[in-house]
Amino acid sequence: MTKNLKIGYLADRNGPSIWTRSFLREKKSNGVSIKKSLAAGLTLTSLVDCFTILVVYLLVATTVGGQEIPVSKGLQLPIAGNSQSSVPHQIVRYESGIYYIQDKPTPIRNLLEALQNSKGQSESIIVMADKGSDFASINPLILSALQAGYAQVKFAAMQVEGAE
Amino acid sequence: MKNNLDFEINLLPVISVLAVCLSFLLLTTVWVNIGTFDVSQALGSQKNNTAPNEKEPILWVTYSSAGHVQVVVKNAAKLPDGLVLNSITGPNAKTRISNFKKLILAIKNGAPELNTALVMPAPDTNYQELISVMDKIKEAKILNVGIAPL
Repeated sequence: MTKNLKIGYLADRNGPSIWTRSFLREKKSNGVSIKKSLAAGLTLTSLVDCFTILVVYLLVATTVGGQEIPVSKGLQLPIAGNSQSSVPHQIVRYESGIYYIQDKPTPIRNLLEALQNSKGQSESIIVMADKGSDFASINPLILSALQAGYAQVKFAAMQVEGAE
Repeated sequence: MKNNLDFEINLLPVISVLAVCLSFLLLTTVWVNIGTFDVSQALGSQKNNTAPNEKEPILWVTYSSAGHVQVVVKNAAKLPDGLVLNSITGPNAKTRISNFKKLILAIKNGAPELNTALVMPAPDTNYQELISVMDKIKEAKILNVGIAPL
């Protein structure tokens, strides 16, 4: 029977397609040829289920509307469980002993002037600092921001549920 | 002639669409959420709006340079005397935060009307410890948390 097979790319009406044929093995037993399929059936339904679960999980986990705050590689923010999602604000940073206003290193004596110049319409300011810093290092940022007219000072923190 | 009534849905386009969605979501999902701690300050333009009333209960958390924390509750008549003035000491910040959490929950239970707290850090107060203290205060449903600059 296999001799009658036509070699062709597409499925043949009179026999299995080239794909199916390649997975058929002829086995002769007592003069009767038996075809045994070697093709393993791939169950796609479970794969689709897995994909669907992952997509739903990622859609739920995705937060919409928050501000993406760029964090420097060497900066470790403090951890807090009750912080709120951030909305766009002016960001100031204290890192490795240097104050940054809009990513520009600023000497401590020019903090007030730089904050006044960059204030714009924003009424709030986000302070980012390493969790190992002491308050004396962050204090000039807070004082300068208040003197520059910012109504609210916020501290950036990593949101971790149940943080101690 | 038999008509085959069984049919199979072609799942390949479905898998392709799901794979694209999955890749997009994996690339765009933010895994580390950064939030902000909103504090009211004891100085500046917000001072007048958030200044507590004379008779409103207020919690003062004062840090000293040695890591010693003093917790004082004012204007809370119903609060037991043992909770009005407390000191927290500990070998490390974790212990202090743990003790502070217990104390603040007891204070809030004793004075449910307490809704304002002011933290006065010392110059050498660790930033993480300061944030943790404010976190515990907010966790105890004391929502108006202020910080006093040096």
